[in-house]
Amino acid sequence: MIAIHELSKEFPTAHGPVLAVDRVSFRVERGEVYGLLGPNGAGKTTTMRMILGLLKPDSGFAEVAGFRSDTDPDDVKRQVGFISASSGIYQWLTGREMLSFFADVYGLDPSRAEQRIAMLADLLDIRHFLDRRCASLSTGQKQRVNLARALVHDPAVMIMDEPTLGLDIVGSQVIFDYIDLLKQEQKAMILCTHQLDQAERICSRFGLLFRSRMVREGTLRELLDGSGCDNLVDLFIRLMKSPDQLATIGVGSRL
Amino acid sequence: MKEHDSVTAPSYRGARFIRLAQKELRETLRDRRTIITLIAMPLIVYPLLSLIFKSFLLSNLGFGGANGEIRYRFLVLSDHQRPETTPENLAALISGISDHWERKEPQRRQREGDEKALAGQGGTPKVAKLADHYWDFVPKLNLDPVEELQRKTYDLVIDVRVVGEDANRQLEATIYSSDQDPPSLAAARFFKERLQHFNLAFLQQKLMAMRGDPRLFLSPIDQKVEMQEQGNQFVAMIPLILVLMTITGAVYPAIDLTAGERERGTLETLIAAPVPRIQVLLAKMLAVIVVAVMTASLNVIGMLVTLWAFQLEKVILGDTGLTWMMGIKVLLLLALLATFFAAVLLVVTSFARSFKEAQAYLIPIILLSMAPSLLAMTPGVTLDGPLAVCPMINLLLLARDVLENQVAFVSAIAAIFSTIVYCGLAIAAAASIFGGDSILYGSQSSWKEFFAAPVRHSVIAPLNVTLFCLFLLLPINFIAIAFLGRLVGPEGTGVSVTTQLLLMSLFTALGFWCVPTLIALWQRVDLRTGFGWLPAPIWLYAMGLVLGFSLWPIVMALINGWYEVISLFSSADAAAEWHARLTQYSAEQAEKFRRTSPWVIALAMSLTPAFCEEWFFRGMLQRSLLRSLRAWQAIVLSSFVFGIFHTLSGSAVSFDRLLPTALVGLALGFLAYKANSIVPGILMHAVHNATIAFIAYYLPQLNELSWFPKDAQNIPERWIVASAAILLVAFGLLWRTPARPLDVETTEATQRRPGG
Repeated sequence: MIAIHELSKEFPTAHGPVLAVDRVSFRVERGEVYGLLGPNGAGKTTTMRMILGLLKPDSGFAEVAGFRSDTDPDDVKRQVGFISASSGIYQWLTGREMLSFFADVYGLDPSRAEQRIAMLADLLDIRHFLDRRCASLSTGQKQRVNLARALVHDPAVMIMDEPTLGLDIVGSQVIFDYIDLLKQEQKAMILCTHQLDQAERICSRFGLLFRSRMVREGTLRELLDGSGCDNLVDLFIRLMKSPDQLATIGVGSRL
Repeated sequence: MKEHDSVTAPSYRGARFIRLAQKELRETLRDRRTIITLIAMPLIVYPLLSLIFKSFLLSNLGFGGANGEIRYRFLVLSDHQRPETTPENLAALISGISDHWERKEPQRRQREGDEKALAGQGGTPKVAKLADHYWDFVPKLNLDPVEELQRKTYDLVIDVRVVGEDANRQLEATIYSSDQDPPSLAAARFFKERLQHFNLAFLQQKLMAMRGDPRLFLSPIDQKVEMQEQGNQFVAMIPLILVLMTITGAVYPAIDLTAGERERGTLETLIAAPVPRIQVLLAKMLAVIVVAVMTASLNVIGMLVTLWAFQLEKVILGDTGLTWMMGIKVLLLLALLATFFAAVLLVVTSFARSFKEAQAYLIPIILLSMAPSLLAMTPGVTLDGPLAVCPMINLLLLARDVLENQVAFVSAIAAIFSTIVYCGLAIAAAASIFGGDSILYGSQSSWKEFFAAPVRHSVIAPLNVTLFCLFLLLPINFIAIAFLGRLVGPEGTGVSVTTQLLLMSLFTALGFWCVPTLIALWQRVDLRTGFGWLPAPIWLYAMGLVLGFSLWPIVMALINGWYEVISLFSSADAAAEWHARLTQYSAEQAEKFRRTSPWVIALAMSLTPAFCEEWFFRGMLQRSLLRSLRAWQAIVLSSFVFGIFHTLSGSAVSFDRLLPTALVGLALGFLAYKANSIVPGILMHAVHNATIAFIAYYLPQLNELSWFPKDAQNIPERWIVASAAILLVAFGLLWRTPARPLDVETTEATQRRPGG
């Protein structure tokens, strides 16, 4: 469903160009949640933006449902629901107005939009505050409205960039539960999160980005095998503390 | 995969656009900051301003006397040699009038009450007794009353003379005053009221006694003096006020709906959706226009209500005060100004990443917009030539002319049309900036991105590229015409006809071929497909030739028919004059052309325009429009633009060309659409132009042939019918031909920048 081929992106800065993503490749199939993990600045967000066509890659390309995001960005966008930690909401609109607006933006006809909104309102339990101005909602409520917004056009693919940032444990749990539900609906998803315990629970496979490169990829078992670690948190901390050990734990070889 | 294809029908797109605009409006109108600018100004600022204005006006109303009373300056002109009109006698008469008024205690109180109401609230300075004002008695020959008033040396001038003989003798006074000068207006009212009372009482007395001294009867004649420039000062300021009001209304929503999106974190979400940015921007523009017009209308209403309440409307708006017509005009002007500012502000605010940044960009823009307003207030600046297409200045001059009822039709059309083009371009530019990754993530310099060549090749020029080209062509066209006009000189005494025609060819080639081609190369548009330089079936070439040969009678008839249209809208005289001018102009042109070789005519009148105009209008413009509009919309729009370009030659003579040119444009457009090529159209265009040019060129020789009419403008009806019939048949044939596809999708997807 999603195929990324050798994506690279460089950003010019005052101190010369910085390579943000370096020849990253991976695939995500239907019904799969792909955990794109890595420390801050590893290139996760840039990768996601390139998949969506929001940023142009310097080389390589991303394909979503057979469409390339560099040549057919609109076709890609139609397939994708996108939610990120920085996704804002229109504070002067009500949740319903905002969802209808995005239904329009995604080209849904009004009657179908209404059906979808009603369905999502029940699914995400946002019905009781759907007609309130978004400014008056709590952070968790806002993020649920945002999730509904990303799902309003019933996308086959979800790209989620730290969707639980700033949420409390309960709020995060709610969002992860929905991601689990979407997995059952056979959506292909890329999830970027720092809540590794939750990631362990719901992600089918993982890609570890470190210093712009994909350093390890596989299922949880495959990642932990031979690393001497019991869980992702340990693996991560080890990785962060001594990047030189990457070779010794079997990562760093180009995939 | 394309499950949403069913929803892209145009009618749906229209409804969706309205809903998108509704969202923008909702968002901005619910924001209390918008409401503050919307409501606060008219509700608070105008009454305050009026109060200040009023007290300023009152302090200027007259020179305060010792006890703070208002005193006007009166000038009495008379023949000091005659006993009746010596200064002493006249001063006595004035005292008499004054005393009479003061004696009429009850009425006076009443009047004073009224005057107080006029002046506003209490605390208004009292007006001195008539006799206590400043009175100057000057021999008649020494001063010009009109000049004195215009120079404001006096508030009122009374020119007194004796009329009639002996027993019938009486004094007559011409009273010079100006309605545009508040003190003068007040002084005239003040004096005439007292004089009228005095005369009435005198008449009563005389009727009762049937005797009296005729010299005491002073009959007034009103003489209104027009103040030079002074009178138009307020009307000339209205455009400036409208500009300020519209900007006030547009600034906040423009920032909020663009830079605000980024600040709220909704921009990325919006750009992650498959909606064309131009559509989002147009919806935003509509919302900004609505808010700006609402703000400005509320401001105008607030201002008018205040003026009315303070009884200042005649001082500001002149004698007619406010009329419905004026209200409608102001509203239309507001809409036009709002559209312009909405587009310009959106470009600027689309660059901004935050509210602060947007505000920093906008302040110079607002200041800059004041300069043209001042130009529009300068007397003697007219809306024509390059000024008619100069952004913003043309609107202000148009506003001024509309308010003064002195609109030149062609210039007005030029101003409106060019403004619409500029707005389209601005929005296209805004769409290319808005939500670009530099704005979204602040990764690079945004200007660089704006001017960067696209990564991908396009088979057909994107609409924003074409609009950019149109934006350049409009002033180039005007400058070229002005340049040619300058070379030709007022009596055509400049350069030779051959040089003129060759220069004309050069300009046409530069404008319609060079500029679009360079832009297309820069923007990586494939020249063959982008301009429709493609092969077409043989029979379409033939059809081009036939149409080219046969269209001229109907075109000529339409030019002559314009005469009828003119006589509908104006007097028969004006229409006849227009017709005479056209005939003369055509004859002069033909005479001029005969001084050069037919080859030059063929090059300048037929080959160059045919190739270059088809290259741009049917090639770049129509094909670009076909990408995003329905076929008929693209054809109609491009032929309208084609017609307008032929009209805008800076003189009214060419306005008759709009309809026939647009018609030829329609035929050319339809042909190019069905052929998916501009080549048959080039043939048609060349043959058509050549036919008309050579008929004029060889008219004397043609006239010798018995079958050709003496006057090329009196074409036999059967020729027109035949021409129309050929046009219809050609249309029918083309109608039945399926259009050849543009093939945008298949080719574009496979072409990529090498190494990209």
